[in-house]
Amino acid sequence: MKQIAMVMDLNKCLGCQTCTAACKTQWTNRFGREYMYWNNVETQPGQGYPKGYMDYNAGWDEKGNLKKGGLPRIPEDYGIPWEYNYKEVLNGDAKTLKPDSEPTGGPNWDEDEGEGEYPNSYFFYLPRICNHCTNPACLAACPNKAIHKREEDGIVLVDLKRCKGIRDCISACPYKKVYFNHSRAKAEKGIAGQSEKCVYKLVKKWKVAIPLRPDFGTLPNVYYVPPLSPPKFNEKGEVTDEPRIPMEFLKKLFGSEVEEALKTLKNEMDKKAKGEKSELMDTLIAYKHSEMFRI
Amino acid sequence: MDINRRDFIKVGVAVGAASIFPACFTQSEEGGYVPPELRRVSNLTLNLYRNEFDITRGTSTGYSPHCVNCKGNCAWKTFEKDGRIVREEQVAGYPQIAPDIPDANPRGCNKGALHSQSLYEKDRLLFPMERVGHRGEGKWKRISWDEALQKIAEKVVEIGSKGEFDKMMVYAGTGILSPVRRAAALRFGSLLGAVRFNVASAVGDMFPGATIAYGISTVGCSSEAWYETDYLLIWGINPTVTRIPDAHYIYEGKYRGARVVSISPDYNPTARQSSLWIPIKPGTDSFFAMSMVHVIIKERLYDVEFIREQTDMPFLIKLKDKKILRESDLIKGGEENIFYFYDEKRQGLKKVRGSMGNNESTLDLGDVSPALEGIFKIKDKDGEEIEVTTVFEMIKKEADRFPPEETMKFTGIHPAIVYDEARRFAKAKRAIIMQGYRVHKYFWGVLTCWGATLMLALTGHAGRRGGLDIDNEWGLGELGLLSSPRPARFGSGFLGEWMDGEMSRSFISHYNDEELKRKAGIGKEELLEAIDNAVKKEGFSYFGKPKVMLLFHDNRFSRDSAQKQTEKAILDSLDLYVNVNYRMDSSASLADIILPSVTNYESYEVRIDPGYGRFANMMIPPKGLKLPGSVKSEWEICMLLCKKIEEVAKKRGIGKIDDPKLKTTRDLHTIYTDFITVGDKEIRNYKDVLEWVMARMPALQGKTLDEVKDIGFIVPGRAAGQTSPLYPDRPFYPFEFQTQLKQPYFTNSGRQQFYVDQNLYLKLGFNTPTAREPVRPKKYPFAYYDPHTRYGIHTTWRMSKYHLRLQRGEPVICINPKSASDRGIKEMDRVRIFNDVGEMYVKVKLHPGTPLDVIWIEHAWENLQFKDGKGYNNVVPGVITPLEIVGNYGHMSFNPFWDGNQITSETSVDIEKIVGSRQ
Repeated sequence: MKQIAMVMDLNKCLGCQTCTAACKTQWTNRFGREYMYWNNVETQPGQGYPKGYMDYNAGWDEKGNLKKGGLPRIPEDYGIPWEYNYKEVLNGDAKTLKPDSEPTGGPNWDEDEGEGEYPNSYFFYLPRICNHCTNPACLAACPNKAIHKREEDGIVLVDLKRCKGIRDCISACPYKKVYFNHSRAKAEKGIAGQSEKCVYKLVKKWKVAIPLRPDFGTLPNVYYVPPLSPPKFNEKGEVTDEPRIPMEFLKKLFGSEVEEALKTLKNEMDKKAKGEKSELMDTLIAYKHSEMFRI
Repeated sequence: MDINRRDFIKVGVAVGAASIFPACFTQSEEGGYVPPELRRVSNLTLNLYRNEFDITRGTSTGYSPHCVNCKGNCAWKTFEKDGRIVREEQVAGYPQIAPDIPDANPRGCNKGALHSQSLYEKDRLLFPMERVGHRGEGKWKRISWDEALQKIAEKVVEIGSKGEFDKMMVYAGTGILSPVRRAAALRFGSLLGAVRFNVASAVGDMFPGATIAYGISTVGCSSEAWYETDYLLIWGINPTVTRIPDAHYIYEGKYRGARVVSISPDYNPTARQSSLWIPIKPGTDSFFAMSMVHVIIKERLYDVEFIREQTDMPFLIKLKDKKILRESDLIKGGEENIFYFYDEKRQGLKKVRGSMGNNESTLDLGDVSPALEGIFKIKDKDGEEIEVTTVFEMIKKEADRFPPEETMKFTGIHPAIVYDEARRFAKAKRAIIMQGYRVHKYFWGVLTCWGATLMLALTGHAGRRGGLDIDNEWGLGELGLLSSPRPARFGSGFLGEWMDGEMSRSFISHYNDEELKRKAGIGKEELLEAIDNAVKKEGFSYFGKPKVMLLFHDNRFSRDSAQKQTEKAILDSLDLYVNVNYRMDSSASLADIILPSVTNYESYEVRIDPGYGRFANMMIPPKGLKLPGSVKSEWEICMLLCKKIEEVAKKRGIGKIDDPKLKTTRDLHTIYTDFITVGDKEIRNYKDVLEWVMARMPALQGKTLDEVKDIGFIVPGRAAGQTSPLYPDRPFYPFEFQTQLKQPYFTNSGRQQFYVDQNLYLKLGFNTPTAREPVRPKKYPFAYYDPHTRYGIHTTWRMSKYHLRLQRGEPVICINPKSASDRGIKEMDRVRIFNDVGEMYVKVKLHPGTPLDVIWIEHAWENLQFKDGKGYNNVVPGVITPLEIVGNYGHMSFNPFWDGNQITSETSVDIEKIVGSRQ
């Protein structure tokens, strides 16, 4: 079986939401999918989308059993995709353009906030799509065998004919990247996958790309180059050697491998800066856009 | 509700003619066109998504950038289905310029990716409308194009027949910043002799600090240079947010080995990606610049050869009055703009070549060795001995006052950081200082920018060694025949807004006289007098308040300071206010007549001028596209207006009218023929305008519309570069013509200029770059500023629900969690932000990266999104810095590069919690 995979570089991600917007226009601006973000970009540390998705006790336990998981609620956890009174403002019935319900949450609610105290606060962006896991909890959880992993590329698909809208897949997915279409009574998710010849170099050879929450046990096929951060200041206002994102937090998200990955990144950056060759930096720089998608 | 909405519109057109704002008045598709096939639950097959994808590929395709005030400029493909745009997709076909430089693909951002959705939103304007209530009430009546044009034409002819051309304003704002679509309004205004503002100045996008140094301010690099540089100082700009298509070059450059340093008061998205973030106290940046200069000079990190040849630092200054030594000092009847070096070889004076008054147009020093240091005795025209020194000595003396240990109390920056960065910056092979429009939104922004140019000059970072990156624009070529067929009335932007809006009131109420005197050396009264003199004596143009105003895609009432006061002052003087727009924005909502126009995707255009990306992008509508409602192109609107004006003028028997001030006549009775006749061509639509323009842009190298209709972009040639050639295979840096070919700069010294002996500058101590304390008043505890957002280009797209859903749904301010909790304020609480200028009601976002004494709000929310329409500028006072209102001093004379700025960030506010229900 083949498996395609993708690397997202958190040092290059701008949090610009262009991917979110393009996905919205292409797939989820219509019929029952309006609240869904098959692709979202969230600020970490933060609650993420849906709110607190990492805290559902989902995925696999150490013995290889599916954990209990849980189902997020639309208004409280995803947030309602509020509408606006454009018409009322235009015809003079309302003075102010405002949402039709009090916004309490959304796909990017914690944008740019993060944690820490000025001037040592920190945040970064985490773009998220379906991980097309090698050991998908959603597939295992479905009582109707509606989810399968495609032989030719390892893409995880929902068969909408078989789907009976039970939603166990959503409960089981620790990343909450399957959504329930209330209009269709079906589970839906992103199916886009990209593949890359560079993935091997970044994941296997240089080990700088690592999955989100490996402890969930689903073996995701989306990998992240972890974020560097500018140094912290001491009380006098001098620059220290300490990066501002706490290692403990990064380890919680990406596992203990993150420490070594960041070290490798820094060493190779130093090499490149001195004018030496660095295969790793040349891979991350991405000279040709078209070469980023090779199978 | 699954009825056929397009049929619903058709019915609406037939029956809804005179009713007040019927439901069918605006677009019925709600936020994007969804084809009928995608509105129903489809058959559940495995091919469902593939079918959906095919449907959104449309039946015909076009190309389009988004022509707003964005420095991006990106090629997009557009897809049409059933006559509507269904979606857009980035064109990723740009060629790589060199194998070791990353390519530009794909260009685009979140706004572009959602324009297909917002262009059919319910705020899209579809038919001409006339207000039936009072201004701003929101009550409208649909009128026909003929009625609308007739009303406007009658008023124009009435004013024109009295010769009051200066009481008409025809102004294209930054909602259409591209040559073809702007041409219509510019041409129409020029034929009428109507007033238009200097756009960059009116919106506050000026760089006077750069103009002092270089004589121009369209200075900058192509974004590939960010990749190549060794040191990048990002200062007062947040490119991660505002340069989305290009920012990858910065962070790839960091991987390549560049040091990326970001200076801003708050920990913003660019800071988080930098090698070092320097948290600076708001408005104190000029101190940082002078401390950098201090270290560079003290540690002799400067490049002697460069400053001798390329700058005015070896020019001589008379010690007794600190004036520059001129020919007129040495010879009776001598020139004002001829200056001198002290030649170390010959131990005597040597005339400087390349200055404004010198015929020899070169910077080449020949065998002259100009002294940089020392005091010299010379004889003046009366034979008296006088002492002179150099500009460099004057700068040294000034910089001596700003050691990093001393400036820390203003900037909050530890001296060790300044020493370290000054050394790294000076020693870098290539260094770029990138500054954004935020810099000049502060009272002393002009000093910050001038100081940055001094840092670069001392260290020789120019041409291929880097330089200032602020606002590069590619050359458009000669389009005057199209846009300015007759002498036009070009008004100062910032002074126009100040005078029209009577902003002196908020200036007087907000600032403290004593503090101004102490920090700026000039009190309120003197400053107001100087502003008055700017028009009376210093050559800035202002034509008085308009009686008739036609705004094309300009959201004047949203961007102006002291919003509510300004709004009233401008509206009260207007007999007729017409707004041409594609959507109902804050300014359209106040109009008397609204004319609906096309938007991106629906027009023809070539966008080339914003100069970070090097590519020219084409706007070509898909074949099957149908325009919604009765919208028209700006060209057609102006053409039809001219036709009506001609009809009315002829009917009233009006012939040529003298316009003596501009030494021409205004021919309302032939204005239609004059409008459509461009040279020997008759032009009636945008396609023809585009072809006319393309044929006259040397940078496009003769490419025709037909040749590029299946590509969507053009790779411009060398001629696109204005101060260096645009090489096909390497990044663009400014001023190679100066550094390599020794052509003079655009200053009166002919060099990068760091000495100004203009009287006010001398009197107030600004003869060299220096530093001053912020003047925002202490009576309110928070500094207030408004950095740009990733969700809009100014107000465009700010009301799009898809963008709002990625935010908090309505305007929020950012405040440090500690400052908030000290006041009992929590996340998402509703608060009132206020000062003596005004107030606004917003929600709160707790932002740990914000300093304790700062409240900020993202720039350019629509006033319509705030309670009572009191927008983010309603607490911002009008203010003008004395440094930007002097004129008649060589290159510092009123022109598109020398016009001051609307300063908005020199503001203090307070905050209080609102108890009770939501507004």
